[in-house]
Amino acid sequence: MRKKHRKLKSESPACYIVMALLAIICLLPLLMILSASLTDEVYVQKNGYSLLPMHPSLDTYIFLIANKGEMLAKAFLTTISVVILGTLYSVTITTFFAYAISQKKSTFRFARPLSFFAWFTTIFSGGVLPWYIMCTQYYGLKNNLFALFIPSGINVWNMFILRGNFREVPEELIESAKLDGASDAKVFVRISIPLARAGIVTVALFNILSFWNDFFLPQWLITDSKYTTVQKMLYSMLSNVATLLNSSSSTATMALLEHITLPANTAKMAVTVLAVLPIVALYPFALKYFVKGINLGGIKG
Amino acid sequence: MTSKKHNNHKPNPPRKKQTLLQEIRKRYFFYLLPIPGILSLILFSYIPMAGIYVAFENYTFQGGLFGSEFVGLKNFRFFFANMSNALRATRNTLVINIGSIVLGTILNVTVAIIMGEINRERYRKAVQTVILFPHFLSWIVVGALSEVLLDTKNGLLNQLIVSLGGEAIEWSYAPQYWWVILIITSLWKGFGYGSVVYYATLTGFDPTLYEAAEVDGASRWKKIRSITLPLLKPTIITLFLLNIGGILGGSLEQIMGMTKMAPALFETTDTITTFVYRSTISSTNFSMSSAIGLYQSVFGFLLVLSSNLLAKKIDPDYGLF
Repeated sequence: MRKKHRKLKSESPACYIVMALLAIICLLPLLMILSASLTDEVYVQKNGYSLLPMHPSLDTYIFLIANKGEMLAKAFLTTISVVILGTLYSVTITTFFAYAISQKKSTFRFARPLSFFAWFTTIFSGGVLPWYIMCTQYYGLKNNLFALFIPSGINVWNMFILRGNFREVPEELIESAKLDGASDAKVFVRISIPLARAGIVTVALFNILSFWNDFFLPQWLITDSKYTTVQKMLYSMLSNVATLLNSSSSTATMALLEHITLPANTAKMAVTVLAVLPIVALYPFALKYFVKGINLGGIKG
Repeated sequence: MTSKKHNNHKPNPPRKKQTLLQEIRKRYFFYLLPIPGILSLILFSYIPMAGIYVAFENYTFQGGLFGSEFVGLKNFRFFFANMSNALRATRNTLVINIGSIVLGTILNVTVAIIMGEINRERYRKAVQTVILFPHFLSWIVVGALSEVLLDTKNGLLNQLIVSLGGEAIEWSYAPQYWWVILIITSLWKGFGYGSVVYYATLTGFDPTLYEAAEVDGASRWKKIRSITLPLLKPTIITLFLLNIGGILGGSLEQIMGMTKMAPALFETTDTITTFVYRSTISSTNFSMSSAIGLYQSVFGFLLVLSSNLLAKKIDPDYGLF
């Protein structure tokens, strides 16, 4: 049926052209960043940024690794730790919660009320100020690694995606396992989790990406440069690159710096490229699960 | 399921309702499982909701959130005294959000329809892959991208303007452009994601409808107008409402990433979110940010409720809840 319909339909070249243009609009800025990071700083200062690397050089990257290697490594290490810990923590508590509220009323009396309990937080919020006071004054979530992931423990939308996945698990499988004497915990671990794998992977990927990209938590809860994340480092570079590049402690490098042009412009672009690379690496997987994920979650809670 | 079966079984005497304690003992697993999630929601969502109370007190670190001196509406007096800032923040929030929502909806639906017109699966998949990518970038990265375009001296946009004989514009000192810049970047980042949702809905439509229209000699435009758009209407309205609810919110990351919080741009870029951020981080006197925070929460909530009510009036199926 569908095939026939396809053949019948005539195509308009305009549609192809418009989509190609939109794709180019999405790609161009990324290409520009890559080009800028690979361009010689002197060239940029003289001629500005260009679409393609005009005087290709790896100098900026070499400069960053030689002079700012420690700062970069620390920021990446912090961020990677947050991504790993945060994703494990968040996926675990989200899966647990989602499984409980995916149950029928007859199995778990509070499934419906707890769904509402979670959903209500998406339509009403106390605002960021009380949240900030609680985190910093009461929970001790300030200037430590925990502050970077504990407050984002549960994302209600992700939780509803998972609830959708658990609801798709065939009832007969669970019932036959129960007849064989399996406990609720065993059913969860042996049957429900493996069958809802796609949803769990989707949520894990979303978590990885959002922890990697997170700027909200570091900006509100971190003032100590010890816990600077990649995004926060990039932000400080973008807002004030000179101080960051100059704050080199060793006098040897200072002496060296006097003779070369500080890659003030290109360094920002190089760090941006480094911040985007992991996303590019994860993107194929994210894409694979993405459409499946949003369809299962549904728009309505 | 099992207990239901028992209940429906006629010969068995009707089972006594289990007490809660018995139920918990029997299905303890389900009562333990959600505890960490419940705690997380209580700590980071519900207690802060109660913390709205801060708007009615003179917050001190010693007194804490629930022990500081109660001052009633005094904070609001301060709020109204500094009305111009709050009004400016509200205006900017509304302009940027309404602009992004309205134009975003139009763009997303258009892109989804165009995507539906493309028959070559491979081409469509390739394009989709590319246009979805910006959704996964952080606003800080988008800020860096925009710098390549908007940097006064080195930016490509000014290079283009100068080469066309114009005068370079100092974007970071020209607030008049920033509503447009912020809306455009929102659209750029979001249209791939937004259109996928509509496209997924669109592919579910019955193809025989289109076939019948084709037999009747309907043009492409006619088919879009009288089949696709009416069928998309519920999705458009639902998503529109979902967005309207967040109209007083806004992303701190977007404004920070794009403007680096340049005070020169506050005239058009200071939103409620950034205003609360600035007044919270820069001072220990929370009266202003607590008052505007309460106003944001309460009006945001009322907006969600009323837009939902409105949608239900149009059609009971359109509501979110």
